[in-house]
Amino acid sequence: MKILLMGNPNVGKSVLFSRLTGINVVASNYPGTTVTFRKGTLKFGSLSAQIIDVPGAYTLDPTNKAEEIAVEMVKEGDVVINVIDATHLERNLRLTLELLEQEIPMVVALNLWDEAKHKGVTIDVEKLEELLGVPVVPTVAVTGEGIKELVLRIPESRSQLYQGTEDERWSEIGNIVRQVQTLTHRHHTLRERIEDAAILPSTGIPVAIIAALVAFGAVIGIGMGLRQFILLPFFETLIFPPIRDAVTAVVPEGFIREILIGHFGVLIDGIGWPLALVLPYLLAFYLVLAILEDTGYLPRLACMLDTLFHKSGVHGGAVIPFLLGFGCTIGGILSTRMLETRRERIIVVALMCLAIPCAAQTGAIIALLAEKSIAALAFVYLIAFLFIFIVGMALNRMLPGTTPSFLMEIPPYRIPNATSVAKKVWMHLKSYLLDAVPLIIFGVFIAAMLYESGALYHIGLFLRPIVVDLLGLPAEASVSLILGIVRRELAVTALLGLDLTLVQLIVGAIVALFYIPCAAVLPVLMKEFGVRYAVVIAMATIVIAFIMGGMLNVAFTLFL
Amino acid sequence: METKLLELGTGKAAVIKRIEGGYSSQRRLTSLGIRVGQTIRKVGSGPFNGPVVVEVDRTKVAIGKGMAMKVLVEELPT
Ligand SMILES: Nc1nc2c(ncn2[C@@H]2O[C@H](COP(=O)(O)OP(=O)(O)OP(=O)(O)O)[C@@H](O)[C@H]2O)c(=O)[nH]1
Ligand SMILES: [Mg+2]
Repeated sequence: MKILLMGNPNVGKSVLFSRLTGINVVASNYPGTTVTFRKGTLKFGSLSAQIIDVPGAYTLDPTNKAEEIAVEMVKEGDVVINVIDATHLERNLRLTLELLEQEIPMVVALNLWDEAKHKGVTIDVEKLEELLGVPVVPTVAVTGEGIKELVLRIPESRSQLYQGTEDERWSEIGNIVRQVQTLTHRHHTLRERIEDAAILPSTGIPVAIIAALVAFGAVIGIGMGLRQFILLPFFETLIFPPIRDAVTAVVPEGFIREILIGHFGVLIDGIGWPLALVLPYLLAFYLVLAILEDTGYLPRLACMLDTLFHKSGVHGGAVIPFLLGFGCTIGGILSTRMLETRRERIIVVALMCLAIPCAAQTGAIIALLAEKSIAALAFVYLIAFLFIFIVGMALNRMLPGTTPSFLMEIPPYRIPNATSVAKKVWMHLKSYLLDAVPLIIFGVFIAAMLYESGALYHIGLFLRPIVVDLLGLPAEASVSLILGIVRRELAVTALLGLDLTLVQLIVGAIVALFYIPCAAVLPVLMKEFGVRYAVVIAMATIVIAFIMGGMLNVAFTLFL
Repeated sequence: METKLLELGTGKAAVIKRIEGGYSSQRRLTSLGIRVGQTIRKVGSGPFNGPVVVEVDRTKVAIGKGMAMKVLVEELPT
């Protein structure tokens, strides 16, 4: 049996999914968190079923890619658990009626029951059940309240044919709401006033600036702190010396020993890069992101940035994929499914692949630059943001079509829950350790092989016109261009041991930033946008990286 | 008297009278509960001609300027 979790965006489907299956999935306080379906198994007594977490949809008449995926899923389900937000019954019932029209057996989870109580919304559950003709169970997904009852009533799921025109549907909804819902009128609470402060111009701009500064400061501060005071000393004193000693004792001098502990030593850099250098920033970034996601601030930030973003051909909602792209480019690309048009998705993804460093690359860039000069770090980011804005404007002019208006539900603020934040950070960490770290080690191994075998020398000769003449970097820096194909941060870490001047460091960081995102991004691009687009992006990133690096190099030599 | 939602005063309540514009933007608005006959309250608007934020069915919805121009409302007496 296949059970679909369906409902409007941001009603708690993913939290419910995690509860039912024990599988952690990302849940955040903004509409459009889930953009692809996720399967899991529910085992409860004699009941064993497949549960599918579906992207949120307001209607079955899709308005973006994520909703399209949801609509396609409907045909596959045997039962639907329609999750609805008890605090916004009217809007949520619209999808409920549409689902009833599909004649698929259904149970309703009246979620966010705690918030409804808190906001003075009372719903007559029995009456609602009678009117809809399917079981209705109040739930609080975050605490687990009502979930057992929900599962117990799955066998009672029924299909109930409803048919009506758009207008009839709304008047039916009006009828239902009138009969089941009582509102205790409450005055504007302090919380609401704080909520609105983030959207209104006079207070919203300062709030956004403070939020951005605190977020950046926290990522860099926590990341640096972890690295300098905990991870680096730990690896330098407790891990690396014994490894060096052991290898020196066991492996005779020569090629293999160099591969293991020499320049680009697999047992030194292969461990140090992913765990002591990148990991602290990754942790810090995802911690800060999780808190931002769960508070409900992001849709407000989207609102603040809408006018500015429109100049680059996308609406404010694109800030969410962009922010996720600062974590991982792939996550950012998938998240563009929440945008309405292919045009917007293409603009956002192109800019992201070029100039948004993922968390791992940020860590590497900070390690490369910040210890020499914080100003150099700020400069690299400034260039990236200027580039995004200018190229965004150019793409907006070049690509046919118009930018759709921003339209987004602004959720209430919620206080981030420590366990769910911790779970989310752990999920990202786990996928980094399992998927990325082996690749980084592989990249280091390639570098060591190229270096020790002397192949790098020949590659350096071959790439000399670009690396040395155009970019002004030493010939060995060509290793960065090779490793950069594997992963974004490797293009940066490869420069670490090279003893570069400040100008070379900046040029190197810029080239690495604009260069090919990472090998794993290309198949995602192909799947989402087609082979042609993926090829164009891959080529463009290489060419633009060289142009940007070359221009900077020339500018620096002329003016310094 | 009908006014554009864009021009409605902050804090004012109004009934939606008409939604102009193409099918796709109508559909997006309706799916969020912004439809003819619905009562809304304007919470404010974002900076530099930013989106209009309205409260509808106790949810807040941000509506970009382009769309907010096409939603025609009649102000309710306070
Ligand atoms: N207070 C309270 N918060 C809840 C409840 N259920 C979910 N939440 C919160 O609501 C937000 C949205 O939850 P998600 O599970 O991401 O919602 P979703 O329906 O999967 O959203 P999309 O993937 O965007 O469609 C999160 O911040 C949750 O912590 C609940 O019953 N009570
Ligand atoms: Mg979800």
